[in-house]
Amino acid sequence: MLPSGLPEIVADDEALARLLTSSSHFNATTVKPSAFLPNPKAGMTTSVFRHDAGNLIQLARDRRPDVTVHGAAICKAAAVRSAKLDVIAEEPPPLHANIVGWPVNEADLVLQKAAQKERALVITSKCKLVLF
Amino acid sequence: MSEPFSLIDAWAGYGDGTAVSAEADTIRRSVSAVIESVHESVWLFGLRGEAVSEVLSVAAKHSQARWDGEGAEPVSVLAIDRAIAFIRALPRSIPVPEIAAEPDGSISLDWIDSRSRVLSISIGVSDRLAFAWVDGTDQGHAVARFDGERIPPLILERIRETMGNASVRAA
Amino acid sequence: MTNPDSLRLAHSPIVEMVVDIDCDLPADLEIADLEQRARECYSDQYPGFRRILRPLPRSGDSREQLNIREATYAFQFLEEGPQLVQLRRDGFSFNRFPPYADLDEYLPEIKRTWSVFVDLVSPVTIRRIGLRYINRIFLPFGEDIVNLDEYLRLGPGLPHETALKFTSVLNEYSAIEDVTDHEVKVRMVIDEQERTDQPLPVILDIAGSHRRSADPQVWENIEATILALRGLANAIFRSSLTKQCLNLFR
Repeated sequence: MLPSGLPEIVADDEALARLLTSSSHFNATTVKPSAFLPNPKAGMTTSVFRHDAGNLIQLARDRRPDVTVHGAAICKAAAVRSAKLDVIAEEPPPLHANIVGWPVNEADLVLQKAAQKERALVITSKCKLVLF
Repeated sequence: MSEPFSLIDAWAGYGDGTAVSAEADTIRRSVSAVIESVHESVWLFGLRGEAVSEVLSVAAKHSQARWDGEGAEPVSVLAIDRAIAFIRALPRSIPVPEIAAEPDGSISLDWIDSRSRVLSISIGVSDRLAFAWVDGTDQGHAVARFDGERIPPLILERIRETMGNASVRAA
Repeated sequence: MTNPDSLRLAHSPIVEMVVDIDCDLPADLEIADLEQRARECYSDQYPGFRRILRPLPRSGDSREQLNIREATYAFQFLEEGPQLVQLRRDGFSFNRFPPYADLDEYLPEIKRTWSVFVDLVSPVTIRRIGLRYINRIFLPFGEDIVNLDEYLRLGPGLPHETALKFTSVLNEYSAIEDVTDHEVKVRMVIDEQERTDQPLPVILDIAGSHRRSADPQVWENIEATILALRGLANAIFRSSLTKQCLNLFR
């Protein structure tokens, strides 16, 4: 059991929220793959919260007080796993998890990016967009 | 004594800025005047002008490090140049993409027909472009080289397949 | 023996010749970090220095400073004479200005300065080799820019039945040679003239390109491409001008 009270293993049917800190990461109806891409210089993970669509504004205020949060992309952990990635709980902060397992190809970073983009597209094809 | 420097306009043209004589400048001005008048023509340049403006706008909004609060890189100058060159090279029959910033400083051009029909291209510091697509149950990724003037045929084909059923807006 | 692709003119109209070698540099290389070493390598013969910037678009925050390091696109190293070397974020350029004799005379220096570039930046691969000639041709016209076709084969024609006179001209075409994949872009520019009692300057810009991956370490292949583009450019130059015009330079 984690400090937040959630189980250590993220279940397939758990809702995950990826906070959207760039207005370019979504349009009126759709989340774009850029919203999920990992930063290769920041541990090659994508930060999410084990949270559904309820009370997202409070979550955003607590977890990202330093940037404007426009909304969130909500998906199930199963959607992440269908993209051949995984979700691993990592607290603190409470409710925090990382999407891990992004493809790596040190010999060809451009091809690595293409492969990561494909996985991100699979996730966003199963995301719901919630705007604040 | 302050060091001399010159500014190249982002519109100077990909690969067209290495000649420095006064005559080269005359050529550039004449060609720019034509390009400007083309851009002013809605019929000739249309939505591509808006897409180029969107690239500059997205780049400006993401010009600081850690713009996402997590360690994102600012959009790179080279990515801006290449993205603009790419948009300008799009045939008129191709719809214009949506623009996004990526955490590694690249620019993403996205053709979105629906949540499950998307083509996304990353434009960064290399002339090799990473792109990926989902189309219902079909998905994939590849790399293609953009020389600054001609869109790789593979990418054009993918755009047409992704957006094929949508009404095509003039580019 | 005279090189058949060479075109030696007693009064060359070339005002600028540019050799471009565009290449992929190592992904982690920042041009700005090379300034000190680059200056040391080139300053003996090219003491002048200029930094070329491509600025990021401004966010609207008036306090934002231009980040010189990130915006640095190229360094230019200037000779006290008529040559310039450019170390760019996307390749190398060598510029030659008047007096202009023949490309063969400048190739050793192009090779030398290219080798310095290769040692400095370790380019991964060459993407494009370009050779560009910008010519300035003075046509002995008086008041009227009408009969361009007495001198220029590119010239547009004005209908004879009208009293139209050109005030400015811009002609451009692009072409590709199927067998070699060599490309050219040819531009002719006549700027609006304030004084009509002076000879008319026509700018003829012939830019050849070869886009193919090549090994930066193999100079012979680079030189062969440059010389092939020279042959193409000279053929275009000859065919773009009438005999009457070519005689102006002999």
